[in-house]
Amino acid sequence: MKASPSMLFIYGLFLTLMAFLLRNIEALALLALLNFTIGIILGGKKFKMLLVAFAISLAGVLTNALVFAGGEPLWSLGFIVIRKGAVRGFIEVSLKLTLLLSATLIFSSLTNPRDLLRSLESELGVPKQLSFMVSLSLRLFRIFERDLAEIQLIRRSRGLRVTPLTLSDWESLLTPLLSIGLERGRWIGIAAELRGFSLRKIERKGLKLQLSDIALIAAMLAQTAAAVFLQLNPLICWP
Amino acid sequence: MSYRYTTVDLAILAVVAAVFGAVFTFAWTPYYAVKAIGGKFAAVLLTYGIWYMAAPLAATLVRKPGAALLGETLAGFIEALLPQVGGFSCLIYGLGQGIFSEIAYAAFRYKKYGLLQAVLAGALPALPSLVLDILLWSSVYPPSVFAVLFVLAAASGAIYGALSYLIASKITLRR
Repeated sequence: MKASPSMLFIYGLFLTLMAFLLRNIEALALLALLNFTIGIILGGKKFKMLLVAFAISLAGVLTNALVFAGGEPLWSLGFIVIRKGAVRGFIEVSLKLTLLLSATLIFSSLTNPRDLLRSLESELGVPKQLSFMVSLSLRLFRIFERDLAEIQLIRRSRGLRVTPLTLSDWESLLTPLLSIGLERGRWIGIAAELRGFSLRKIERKGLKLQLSDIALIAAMLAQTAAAVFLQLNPLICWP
Repeated sequence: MSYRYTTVDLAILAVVAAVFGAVFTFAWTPYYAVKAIGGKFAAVLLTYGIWYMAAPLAATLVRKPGAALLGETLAGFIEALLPQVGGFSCLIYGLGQGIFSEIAYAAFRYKKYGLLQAVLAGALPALPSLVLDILLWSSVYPPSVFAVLFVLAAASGAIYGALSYLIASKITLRR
């Protein structure tokens, strides 16, 4: 019994919006820990590198919190002063990032972009023009990644900086990439039109809710209720 | 002026989205490189505008209403669909930035797609980007830091907006 990709997408968006909107630490902790556990169970093995990148980003959050956050000093470790705001800030932002990562882990473990597009088009009625653009972009993305690597190789062989830092670096990197890309795009557009893209009719099935979809809706409602309750009745009084 | 999108227009927007989907993922390397050398403010000034470039570029190439919004939002959507730490937030950022870039062209009633419009389309997304940053990061950064970040992000966006116009003009001239 698989959840509909559209419903998983909505669930991912729900978690992301919660990460933006919630400020209460307990509510964030509840949602983040619950969804992160599910995400790890589903995709922990498959997305190990993502977890490494996440750990690095948490180190970045800690550095930013130590440098920028205000409040009274709590501890002083040599030249590092840990302020009240830094502790709260680090916890809050880390939980928000955990929630964002959980959305990716759950979504990417249970479905893929291609199924999502098919589902968005037939079940949620997304216009065919939009799904054409997204599916084409996804197909071209890997090609452009390869093109980008080739351009980097050529830059390196010419003694140019590999990591673009100046405007001229970016200009010399993007111009060939876009130049090749637009030529491809133009011919793909012509080919699609010749194959009757404008006349293509979409079979709309409508969203038929399975048990797993209903479970996802229930999870969203329960998490919203819990978050609102904790937002209104905080358990811990944070500085 | 035609307001109808042809299949070639859609394919060009898809190309812009795919290119910037790849560039956005790649741009974190220079961002962190600059941040390590010059700090957060230098990194914002020198690299933030890269994330606003898709809109002015798409609009300059396609020259139709909605192109800036579609270019930026699609690039954000592609970035969001790839497993990465930011997850679906890229789509929300992309949508917000796309709407504000679109305003730059709508303000001129979609009659001009020049350098000034591209600069504005690059600078305006700093506003939604800042609002979303505040929602995510307000507990770490004080308001004074956000104010500086906003000015730097808008300046960076304006510079990269101009760059995207120049690149688009160069590519169009070659054809």
